[in-house]
Amino acid sequence: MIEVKHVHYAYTIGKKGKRTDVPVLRDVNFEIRKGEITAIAGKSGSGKSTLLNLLSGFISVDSGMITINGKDVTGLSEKGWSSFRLEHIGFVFQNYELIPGLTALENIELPMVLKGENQRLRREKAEKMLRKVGLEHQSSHYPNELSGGQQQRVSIGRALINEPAIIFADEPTGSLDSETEQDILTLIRTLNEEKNITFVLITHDHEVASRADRRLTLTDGRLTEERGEYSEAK
Amino acid sequence: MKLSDQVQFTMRNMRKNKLRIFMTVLATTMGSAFLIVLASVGFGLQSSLMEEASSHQPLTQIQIWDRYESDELQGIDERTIEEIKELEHIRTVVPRGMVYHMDVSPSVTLEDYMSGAQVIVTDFEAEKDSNLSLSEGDFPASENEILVGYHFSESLISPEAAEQRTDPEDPYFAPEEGDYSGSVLGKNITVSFTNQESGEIVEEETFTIAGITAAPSRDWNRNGNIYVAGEFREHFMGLTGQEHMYTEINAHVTSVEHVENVTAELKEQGYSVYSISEELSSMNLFFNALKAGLIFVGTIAVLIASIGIFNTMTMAVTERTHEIGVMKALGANPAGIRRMFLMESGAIGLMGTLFGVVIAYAVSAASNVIIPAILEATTGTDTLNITFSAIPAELVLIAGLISVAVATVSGYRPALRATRVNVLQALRREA
Ligand SMILES: Nc1ncnc2c1ncn2[C@@H]1O[C@H](COP(=O)(O)OP(=O)(O)OP(=O)(O)O)[C@@H](O)[C@H]1O
Ligand SMILES: [Mg+2]
Repeated sequence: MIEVKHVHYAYTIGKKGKRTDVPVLRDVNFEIRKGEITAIAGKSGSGKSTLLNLLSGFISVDSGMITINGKDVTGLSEKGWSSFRLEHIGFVFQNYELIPGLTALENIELPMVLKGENQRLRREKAEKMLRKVGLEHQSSHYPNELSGGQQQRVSIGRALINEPAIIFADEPTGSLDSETEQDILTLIRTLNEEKNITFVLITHDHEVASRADRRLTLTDGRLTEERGEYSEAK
Repeated sequence: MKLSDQVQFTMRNMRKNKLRIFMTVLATTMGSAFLIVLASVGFGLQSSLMEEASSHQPLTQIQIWDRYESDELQGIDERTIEEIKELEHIRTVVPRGMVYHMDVSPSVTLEDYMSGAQVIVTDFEAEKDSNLSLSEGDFPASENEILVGYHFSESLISPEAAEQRTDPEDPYFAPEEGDYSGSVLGKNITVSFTNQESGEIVEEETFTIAGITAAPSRDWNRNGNIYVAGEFREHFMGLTGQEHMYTEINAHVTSVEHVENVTAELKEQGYSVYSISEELSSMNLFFNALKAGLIFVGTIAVLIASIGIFNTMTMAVTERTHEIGVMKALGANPAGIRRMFLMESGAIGLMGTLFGVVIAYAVSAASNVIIPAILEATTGTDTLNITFSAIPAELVLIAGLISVAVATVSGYRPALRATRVNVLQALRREA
């Protein structure tokens, strides 16, 4: 499903004339199979977000190759990436990133709007999704009228609405209390089992990482793998 | 993203900042109203002057004087008239000819009254085709029926009144000396040809007045002529000894745009011609230059308004950076994002233009009332029936195109900036 080969990435900092490279990822290699929940762990600043941003096309690799869903996305243009994301990837962010001017229902509808679905179908699907994430009573709430956990549910609904094969989540529970965190993780697990969606989540929380099928750890820009308890149970 | 959704998003965004949008639309409104009002002066004066010029001669009329062939005056006869009629785009040719006072002179009498009227031979069919209008009666139906000019009755003088004149021998007298009262319609007149030397009457013809022409378009013009059917041309020529009797030939062209061609064709064939359209074309050139200049100056006002649009759109993009970032992250097409911003600036331009047009019409109507009133009050003249400001559809179209284009262009850079929003920076900044 996702294949990463010899990926290198360095940030360039400093003004003209005094530029320095900050290497973040060094020869990263891994493969993620369809339907897996993979946690990427590592210390703060180890490059977890950087790796996910590369997989999302927000930045592009210095060298190496990334294949998603059988497609080599390494050299994709901005436009190519936007339609690829719309089609194949759902996003859940630590800060939810809902649009403040849209209601819960409208936020969930947004990816379908971007895709050009017609209004009736959109409404219908979005309402169903709201029920699935347990927010049928909050459909007309604006993001600032929802709790953190509720906002994250909306954002999960939004990530799922176009039925992508993959969902990327950068610290999806990072801003939530541990009880809400458990709810969200259970929701993710249910969706994974129902729809066989591949999840890649970033976390520095051991508890969260331990509920994934696989655990990849980034240290000094290199990746190592540990088996999670769920995969052992399987 | 579907167009209807883009429109909806754009409208939602615009509603969020009503005051800012309102101020920008206001600036655009003022700019485009200024442009239209300024240019309307050019359009107004042009159409007034054109109307003025064409009021005493129809635009489709070409006057034909003479004909030269290798620098020799050829004169005009029946055959040449027929030739002109054969030309393309000619609707009709009115061949008027004046009967001169020569050795044998015509004089006109009605009952006892004498008249100094000129006798003119013409072709009534052609007169009818050239839209000669009558104030009373009808076009002659038979050879012995005639038309008379609007002021004909004023040219009639009784023998008693004639005797009181300082010089009773003078055949020309002022209209106020005439003392005929009542309508001349249906009356009989006699045209007698007198040998100037012997005083002997050579010939007398009696006609019935079938119709009276409409008043000349300018009130200082007088028309006391009598118009006789063309059948008498040869006969009268024989009496007076005139070589030809075509003194006022007017060709009427089917429509204004052919005047130029036909005029050129006639000149080519050696005719000396005059058409008001030809005169007007140099005037038009001047006015077109004037209008272009006014539109150019007006466009500067629109450009100033466009600075406001640029500002508003730049702020809108900055404000919405986060939202744009989220949409791009989710997979929004950059072109779609750009289009939404262009729609917003285009909508500002369009609204500004619409209000601008409405205001311009109001200002134009007001200035047409107020400016003549002021001029009358200050200069004391009251003959000013000039339209100062006119807004034809083409001006609205030109101004609309300029305003909307300028608005879209000034919104283009901000829109481009919107598409270049960096997803990661936008998300990190946080709403
Ligand atoms: N835009 C940037 N410019 C320069 N350096 C950056 C930039 N973004 C991140 N870095 C550097 O790259 C390294 C990896 O950052 P990244 O955000 O990937 O870490 P992370 O593992 O996600 O950390 P956290 O757990 O705190 O989110 C850090 O050392 C950071 O300083
Ligand atoms: Mg991070």
